[in-house]
Amino acid sequence: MGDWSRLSTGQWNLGLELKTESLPTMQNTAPSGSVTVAESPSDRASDFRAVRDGTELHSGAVLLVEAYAAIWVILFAFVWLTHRRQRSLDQRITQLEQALDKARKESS
Amino acid sequence: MPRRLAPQDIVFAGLFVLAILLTIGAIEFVFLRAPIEAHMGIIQKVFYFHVPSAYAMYLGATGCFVGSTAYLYKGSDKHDAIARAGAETAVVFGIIVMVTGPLWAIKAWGQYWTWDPRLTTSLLSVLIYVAYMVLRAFGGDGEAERKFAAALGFLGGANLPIIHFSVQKWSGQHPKVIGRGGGGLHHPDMRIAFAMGMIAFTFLAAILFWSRLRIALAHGRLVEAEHRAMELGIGAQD
Repeated sequence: MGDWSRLSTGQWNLGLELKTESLPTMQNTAPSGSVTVAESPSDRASDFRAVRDGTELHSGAVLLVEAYAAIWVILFAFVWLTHRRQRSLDQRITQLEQALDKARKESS
Repeated sequence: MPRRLAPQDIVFAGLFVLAILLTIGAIEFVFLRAPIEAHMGIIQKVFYFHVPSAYAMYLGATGCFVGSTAYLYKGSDKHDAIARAGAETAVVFGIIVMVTGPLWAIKAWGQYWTWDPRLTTSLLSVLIYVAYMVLRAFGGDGEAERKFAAALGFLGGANLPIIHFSVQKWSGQHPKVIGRGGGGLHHPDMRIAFAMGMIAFTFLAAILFWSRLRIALAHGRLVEAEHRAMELGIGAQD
């Protein structure tokens, strides 16, 4: 069994510091608001404090707008592809009409 | 003299107007009326478009399945056109599901993607219909290619129940709110927003399916006319 009393006396400080350094994502993406950090390694071991006035890691509102925008971009892309396909059909119909006109003139 | 509108044009115009009105109504309810969900926050509002998109994908996939099965049985151009329009509709709404889902997941789960059974089977289904479209676009328009595409459409349809029941059979992370075993939407405005989203996407899927079906049918008639012209020695198409 481990000696949990060492946790409060700061004897496990080295291990706790290594764990903190192994979380670069949390450090790199720290919010821009004022951050309350522990005063010393022993404080970090004994309590966790929330970021105050910070922003979320992923803003729900921004993600919602992105999702909503994506829906309409995809639908408009589909309409554009439909238009391209119609244009292709129009070209082939025009070619067929020209060929028919040419054949009619030759036969007359 | 103005051309008289055919009954199908009137029906299409009606569907189009209804789709626009319902989409506007759904947007109003989703963003202005439906409350913010207690646990997930505002990102939960993706639900009101994500689930209807998945449902619209099912509709397109069902159209493809019916058209493909009928084509394998009877081999008519009309059934091939139905299958093709259904596959295209399924791809459009499938891509919407595959884009909106991860944007929701990064907030709810902390990651864009997991190999959850429902996510995996949905991705597989979208890839089947993408393969169908690629085959039709680049594989030629012969009888063999059409039959192979119809087999793909049949396979995609067989995957639909697997997607639907994957959450119940294999659990996974994907939430189950609607239907048997789901907790449901607790606020009445949430239910209205969801219902409006479902109806709006049904009409949207219907008009997209119809417009692509008409193009596919017109393409079939054009190919037929070109063949006849070539038999008479007129022009040389393609």
